[in-house]
Amino acid sequence: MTQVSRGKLQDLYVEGDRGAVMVNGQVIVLFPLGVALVNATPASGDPVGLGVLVEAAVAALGEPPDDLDVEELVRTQIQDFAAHGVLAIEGSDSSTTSIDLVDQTSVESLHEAMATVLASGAGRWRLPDHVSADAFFSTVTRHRVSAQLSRGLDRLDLPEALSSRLRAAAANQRASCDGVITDLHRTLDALDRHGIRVLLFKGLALAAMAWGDERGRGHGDLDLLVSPDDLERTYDVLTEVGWQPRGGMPDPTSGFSWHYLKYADYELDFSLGRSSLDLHWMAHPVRSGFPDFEALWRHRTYVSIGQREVPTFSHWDALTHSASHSAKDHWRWLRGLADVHRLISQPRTWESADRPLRPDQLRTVGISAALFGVPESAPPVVRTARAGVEQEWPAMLREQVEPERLRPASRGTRALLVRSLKPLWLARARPWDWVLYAARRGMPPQKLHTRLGQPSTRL
Amino acid sequence: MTLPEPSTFSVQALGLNVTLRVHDPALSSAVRDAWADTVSAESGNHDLGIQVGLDSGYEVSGPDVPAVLRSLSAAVIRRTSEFQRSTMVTLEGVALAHPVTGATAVLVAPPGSARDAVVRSLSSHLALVSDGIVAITETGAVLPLRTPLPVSDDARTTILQAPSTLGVPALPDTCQVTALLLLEHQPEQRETPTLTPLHTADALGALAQRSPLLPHLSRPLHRLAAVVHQVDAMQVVGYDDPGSLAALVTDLLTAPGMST
Repeated sequence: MTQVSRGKLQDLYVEGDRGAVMVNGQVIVLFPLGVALVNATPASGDPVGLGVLVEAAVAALGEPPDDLDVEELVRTQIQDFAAHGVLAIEGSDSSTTSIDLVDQTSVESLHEAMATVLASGAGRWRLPDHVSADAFFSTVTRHRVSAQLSRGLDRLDLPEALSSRLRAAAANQRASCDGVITDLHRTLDALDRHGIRVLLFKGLALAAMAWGDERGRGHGDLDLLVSPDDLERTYDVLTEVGWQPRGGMPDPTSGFSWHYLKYADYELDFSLGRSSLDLHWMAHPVRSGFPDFEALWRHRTYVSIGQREVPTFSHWDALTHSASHSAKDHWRWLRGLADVHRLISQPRTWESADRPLRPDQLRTVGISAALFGVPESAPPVVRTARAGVEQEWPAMLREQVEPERLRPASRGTRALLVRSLKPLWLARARPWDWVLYAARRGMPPQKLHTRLGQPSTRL
Repeated sequence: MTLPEPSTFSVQALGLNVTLRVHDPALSSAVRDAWADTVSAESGNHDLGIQVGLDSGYEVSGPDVPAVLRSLSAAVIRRTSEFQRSTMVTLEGVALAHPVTGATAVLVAPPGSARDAVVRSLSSHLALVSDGIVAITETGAVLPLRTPLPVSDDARTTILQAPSTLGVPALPDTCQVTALLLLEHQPEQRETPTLTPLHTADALGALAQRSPLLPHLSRPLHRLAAVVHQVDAMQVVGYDDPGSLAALVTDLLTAPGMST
């Protein structure tokens, strides 16, 4: 670290020895050392040396005790600020992430790091010399596990700057959950008032159940499941709350195209400012392979989201759903596989089992155990599943390095068709599921709606 | 065939004239009654227009009158706060004013703060200035957005009504922010609410999380800090029973030097 400059700040407010800074849309509260360091960097963007910043820290905080290494303290604070974009370290772009940096060694390193964090022991792991910090961070970002990895940073030997970036990314993910939770509460209030039963699943609910912290895996969409019988009423309530349906999709007044959507598809997308919501009336595209709403409602348990008890899937339903979802994605995301590992590590998951695992779910459990270890409390079926996943390994690793959709076309139509149908086969899809799958592929509901003619919007 | 002319009237929301064009006679009287507290006699100075109807082709619609009224409230909040995002500080929460002095408490409400119960408790003797979004000008004026309120908890059968018809005190001429409170619901923690002042820097961190439109303001942190300074300091209010806040907030608004 030779020279440090001020980052691209949207605003800086200082009052006495405290302050706050806005950068990249986030507000970061500053304590006295932070104020001293930011004030010591010129607003013009000109860089200053580490010595200048150390002097500024001493001037602001006074002479340190003998046993305190001020330079190390300042260096750590600078790296934290660089990770958030408050300061910039010359010659190192702390925001560098690129899919080009993700390769097999960085993915395998992440496997090992996650296994260390997920293990119950006290083992440590060190980033190999041949994997750069940028490549590792890019891989963590691609697989959306910064929050999960940050839980175990004390057991990972990483360069300090990399640890700071991971902490910053995790903090940003956690902060982004607040707005989503507010929108969720408003939505649940409205649905409750109308007496509509709803299950929250994936996302926040899965984070609370699997990781014990609703903000513990970052935020994504809100996923709500309602009874198909309540779909139209739910649609109306969501639009009352302010959720906007994705353009071009049919609505309950659209006649045939709405009925086609309801029978051929299983979810609808909505957005509300910064939040998005998937409204499901089936929990899985393979209908015959997963319990219907009534069964899931009977099995339900509750998780705390923003200090509110919210109904969600039972542990077993959450495991089987997550495992199916991961298989549908060809096991390309470590986030989903880590969720499965957390669930199979909990005795309550196995206590709530009411049906056997399907082949696709068994594969996911096996892959998760192979990647992150067989949990001590897991039943024998996990070891059995782990032993049968070798054939999936090369394809899974290829997907985790570079998902199929990002690769240049390299296969013929037939190979792609086989690939897309394999998850249905593994999920033991029944004839009706194949018919619905073919219908969705051949005539997506949005396309049918467009062909039949949307009602014109009156202005 | 020529469509009948819509009923048109203006409502005042966050300092804007919002023109509502209602395309159904049955709906028209319901909308006018529900928004009676804010209907403006003049339809000039049109800032925003919203088309309302029972047909899904309109910007605000629904299968029945209560549903349309609820959608309309959400739409007015969304459209007006977006319109004012580069000029006003907007916070997620609720604002209540002393009906005579106009001294106003802004309650910033994070998830889990039991906001609805707080509103029910406080709005029987304080004027509800806005609920959902609070907009504050550079001079500290809190702009009213008086959306209709439900008659009962059962929204399947209830209809929304103007707050004044439900006994909520009328708005004073002007509302000036005099207290800024961060709600912190602490179930089974304490019998009486507690107040803890925050340093301005910590207040900025807390407020930023409840101000999704903040990045659209020029010098956003300075604007937030100006609001904090108008009330001396933002305070965290810890409480168990939302009903216990009524006396505390009323005291804050009637303390010497608090009237505007």
